[in-house]
Amino acid sequence: MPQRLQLFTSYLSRSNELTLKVFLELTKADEVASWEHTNNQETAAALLVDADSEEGRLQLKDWARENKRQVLIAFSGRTEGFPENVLVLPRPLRSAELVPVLRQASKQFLSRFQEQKEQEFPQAPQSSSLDEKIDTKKIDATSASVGVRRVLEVLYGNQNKIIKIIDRVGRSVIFDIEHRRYYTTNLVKMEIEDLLASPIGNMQIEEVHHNQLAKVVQNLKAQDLDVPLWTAALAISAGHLFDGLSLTESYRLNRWPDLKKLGQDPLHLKLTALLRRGGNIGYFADHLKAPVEDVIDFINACRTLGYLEYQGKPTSVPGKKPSNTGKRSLFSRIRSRLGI
Amino acid sequence: MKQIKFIFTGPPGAGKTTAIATISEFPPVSTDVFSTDGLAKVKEKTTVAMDFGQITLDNGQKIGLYGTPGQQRFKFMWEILVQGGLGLIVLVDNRRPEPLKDLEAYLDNFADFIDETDAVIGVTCSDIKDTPSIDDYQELLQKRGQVFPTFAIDARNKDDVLFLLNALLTCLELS
Repeated sequence: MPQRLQLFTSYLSRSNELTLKVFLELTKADEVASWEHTNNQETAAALLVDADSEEGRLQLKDWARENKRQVLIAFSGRTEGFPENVLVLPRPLRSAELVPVLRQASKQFLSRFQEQKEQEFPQAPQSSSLDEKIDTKKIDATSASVGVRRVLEVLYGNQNKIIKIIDRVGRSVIFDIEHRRYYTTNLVKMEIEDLLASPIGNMQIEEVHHNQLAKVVQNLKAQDLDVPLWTAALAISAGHLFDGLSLTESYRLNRWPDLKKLGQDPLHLKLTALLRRGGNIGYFADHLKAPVEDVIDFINACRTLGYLEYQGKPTSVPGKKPSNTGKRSLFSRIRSRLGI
Repeated sequence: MKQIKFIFTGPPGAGKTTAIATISEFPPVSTDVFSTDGLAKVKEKTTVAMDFGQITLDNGQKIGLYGTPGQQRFKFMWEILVQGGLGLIVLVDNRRPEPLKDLEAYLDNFADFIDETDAVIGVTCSDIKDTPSIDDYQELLQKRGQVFPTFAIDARNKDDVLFLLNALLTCLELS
């Protein structure tokens, strides 16, 4: 799935900025990443500056010196004389040149991101200043299936708490799990998903009291946590049931996941329709002729969002209804006619 | 023989006529009149009997797309319209004063039909008024012990309408 990355611009004229926003639409079909404009420098994956103005030139120099984690792009009529690793977007602004530069920026950003991840993951958990009040017993339980404690599991085990996570480079995110929101100035959505799937070893985890939340998050925009939770749960699941779930017990959904928001996977749609009636994992996989691992991933993701309800050990799984060939053929024709 | 059809229902102004128009192979035949009550502020015309659209399958079979009149005073029409219905598409206008109560009213009124078939819920105009949220709708359904596909949609957008229909077909196939 293509990543969604954000671009921050500086010292760009109003007309160039408007043109750029239109051109960014062209990246929507890109296989690696699509780009959108942001006014928040911290959440951006790339910083573009008009380097032909004096202020812009100095700004670029400062950013290069600060060794920013974002990819730097100079918009300029010149082709030389820029700090190392700065991409150059030639003036005037043309889509034919912007798109390849952004493609290069996507690759650079994602490869840096990957490198950072590889550096962090192999390390054994070190000191993690878990607040005593955070329910680590639940974390222990849910982590058994995947071997390491992950941020996602900390959040799942502390549903009614507000948790602040600070990664080892000091970037922080506040998770209001009950209201399915997060607040940050430092991380883009993709990084949030990665953080949720990361081992807690290198993280600092603190509880924020409910009455302090407003103060702590002032000026920060609340962002929807459902999609990062869903994506991270699918990513770490890898066909292994989260602890506390069982292959033989029966489950059902207590609400319909917003699949329009969570990704329009045809198997997930079918599983949702089946799961609202209930059954066990074997039944779902058998009924849909789907790999058990994929069903497990979906069950884990539903559990993470709190949509899964335990039905107990069934005396019998829902029987297959007699196949109504006439109706199936009708539905298939309707789908074909509507192109769905 | 009863015609096979999908039923679109919901309060006045929720987008039933528009949704039918996005997928029907001809502009929907509507029995609209000029609104004379409070609704006139929201929409100039309203449907008094029904909307009718159609799609023709590759074997020549016609599938009707019927929109019910939104106003409760035309309730007597609803029972007639649902005969032969495959499933129900409930559209709720998020701009109205109490959209959650609207939804409950339509789910109650069509309860027998839903029991026999299935339903999906499309929330329109949530870009204009973002509360209640889809979560709020889901919470309401959860309290009622019901699980229905519920999505924010734009009734003018064909993909959105097809997304709802796809969810309904999937439920019908797998229930």
